[in-house]
Amino acid sequence: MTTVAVGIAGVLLSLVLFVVVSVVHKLITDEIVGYVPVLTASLIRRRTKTLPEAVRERWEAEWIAEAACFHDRKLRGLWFAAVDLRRAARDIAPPPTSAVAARIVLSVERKRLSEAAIAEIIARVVERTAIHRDPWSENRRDLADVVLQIRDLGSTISEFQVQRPRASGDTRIAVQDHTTPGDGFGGPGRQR
Amino acid sequence: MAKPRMTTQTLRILSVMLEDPYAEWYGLQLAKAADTATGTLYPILSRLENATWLASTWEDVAPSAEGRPRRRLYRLTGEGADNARLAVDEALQQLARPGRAGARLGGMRPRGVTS
Repeated sequence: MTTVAVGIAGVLLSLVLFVVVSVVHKLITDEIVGYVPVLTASLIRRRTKTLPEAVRERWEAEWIAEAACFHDRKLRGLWFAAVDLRRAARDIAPPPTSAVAARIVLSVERKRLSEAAIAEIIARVVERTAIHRDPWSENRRDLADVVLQIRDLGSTISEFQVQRPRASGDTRIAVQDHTTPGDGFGGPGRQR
Repeated sequence: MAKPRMTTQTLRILSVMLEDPYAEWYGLQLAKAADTATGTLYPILSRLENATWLASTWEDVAPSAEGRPRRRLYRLTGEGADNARLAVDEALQQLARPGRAGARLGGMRPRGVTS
């Protein structure tokens, strides 16, 4: 009799546990899935942060609309925002100007130009790079284009070479000594 | 305007759009039709748009009525359709040629072209 009672109690307990686990599991799953679109939108906003301001809003709205196509496959939408758009944003966005400028400073300093000359060079290169660096262009060619862009920087500096040597991604400006003393650009051999 | 870089994916997208040059496509729809990864698609669309081969507009629907945000729709411009035809024809000619160029474009088969 006792054995039967224990058996029945065990079965009942199992049933209760099954129901509880099912309900809790569903609640937790629904809760998590409910946050997926929020997370997706947040990721999209993060992706578009790297884009130029002029096009940021447009791409954000476009990608949020595209992600909404995955309304019945929310995790696929999350993948779209996390992985697919990461690549898309990287290919659309140019490298940050500050990073380019920082690399240019290091290279130019080795040439012992005056501080004013360096500032001027950086300002002009960055300005022209930024102008040229159309977010729609092929980003990888931007630095090569700078060579052409900066040849007419000024009458005193006749040539720069902007290179992206090796695989380091490092940007180097070789300033050839075509400067004139007292021209504000330092001149050859002038020490900082 | 400079000609956009012609990759296999670009040619795929263009050949899909050329099937109906007046049709409007949204990104995922185009990615599916052209069998192209979405990560690759958007930079290509932006390049083509920048080259004025494509034009894009916001979908003319009320989001509240549709229950979803408005999509960005892309279509070929007149100039873009002409240029795209030339580019696809050129690629097909390369494909027909034996050698490296043909091998490189081996994955590209514009829709409607069976041989």
